[in-house]
Amino acid sequence: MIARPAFSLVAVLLALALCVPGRARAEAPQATVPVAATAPPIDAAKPADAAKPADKSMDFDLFADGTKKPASPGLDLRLTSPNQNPELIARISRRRRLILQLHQGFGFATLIVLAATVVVGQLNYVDKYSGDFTNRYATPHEALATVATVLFAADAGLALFAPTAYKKPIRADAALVHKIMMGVAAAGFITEVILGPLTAAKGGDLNQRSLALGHVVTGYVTFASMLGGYLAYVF
Amino acid sequence: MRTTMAFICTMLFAARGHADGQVNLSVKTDESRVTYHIVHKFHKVDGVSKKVEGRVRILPTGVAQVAIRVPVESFDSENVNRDEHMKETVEAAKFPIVEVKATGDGMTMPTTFPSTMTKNMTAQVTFHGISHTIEIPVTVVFLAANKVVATTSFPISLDAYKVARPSLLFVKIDDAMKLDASLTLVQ
Repeated sequence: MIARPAFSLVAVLLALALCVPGRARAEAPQATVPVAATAPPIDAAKPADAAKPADKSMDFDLFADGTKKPASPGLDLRLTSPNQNPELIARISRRRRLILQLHQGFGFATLIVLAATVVVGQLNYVDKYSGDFTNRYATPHEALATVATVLFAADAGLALFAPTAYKKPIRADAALVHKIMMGVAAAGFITEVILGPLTAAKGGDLNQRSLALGHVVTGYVTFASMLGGYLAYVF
Repeated sequence: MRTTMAFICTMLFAARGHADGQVNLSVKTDESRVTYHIVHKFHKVDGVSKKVEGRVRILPTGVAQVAIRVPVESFDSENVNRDEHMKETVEAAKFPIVEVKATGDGMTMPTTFPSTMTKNMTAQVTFHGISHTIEIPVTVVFLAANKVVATTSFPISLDAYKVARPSLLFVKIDDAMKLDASLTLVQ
């Protein structure tokens, strides 16, 4: 007596379940399929080749939001500023790239001239305090030091004043190492610009050799910093 | 009797889901990543994005439809200057998304877990505003009925996508850029 209505209910549910078109589910891509219903979810009996050509086309939108904006929170696609349009950013990028190409060229030239300055400076020191005191290296050293300083200043200017198209957060990376090393090199250049002429002007003084030694050491530190900054960036 | 009815109803709906349903999976962002690999004469660079968004739909016909997208800005090569340079060259402001749409057939759910399946899929890679269709190998590891890990690795040509290859010390990077993806998909 009790079982009859129950079986009737089951029969009705069975009929309803089988009558609901499967397409209604297929049209709702975001619907969550219960885990229990998904093992296995594919009709393995159907060969893959039987798939409709439309199924295998790329004409589908699984995100179904019609936009290119990721739906996940926290995926901020904004670039430098929402007010800047892509064309403006492209123009800034092109200008930046040109400036940074020059920066690389100037940097490489500075490194070579600075190496020559250090070598000739060392020869000058040896000549002056341990050698024949011919003074033949003094002028080449001054000339090289002047060129190196001008190149470095120009190179630093290019780096500092290059426009930035995209945000660059400060973080511990090779770029930061490069900047720190170049900062040390800049301090070295400033020291040398003061210490060089000061040492030269102290001719005959007892402390000239000490100043000259300090000048030589600062030169080496400056060169090492610049080389380190260069290597950190390249490798 | 009520228990029996509930069981029958559950089985009934489960069976219907198996017969004509489709499977929808979503990328679990915190467990997924896409990596690019580029080669320069002096060094190799890897850029990783952990902001992957993606969906997969497995149709009753066995066809899998995949859509993955990654914001160009999200790639991190552990050098802010290099990342900034990358954004310039791929025009991130104009083309902020790298998108991959792929389809493949013969996708069947295993009966035991974990289980591994390797398939070739046809993928449309949209990058720098240009789309190219290529074949990519995909390895799918079914960890459970509701958790899948898919991995793929394939090269693309930067020139084919009209990307002005960046240079360091006036030496350009290689044309081939390898893309790796490791995606954890859940229901």
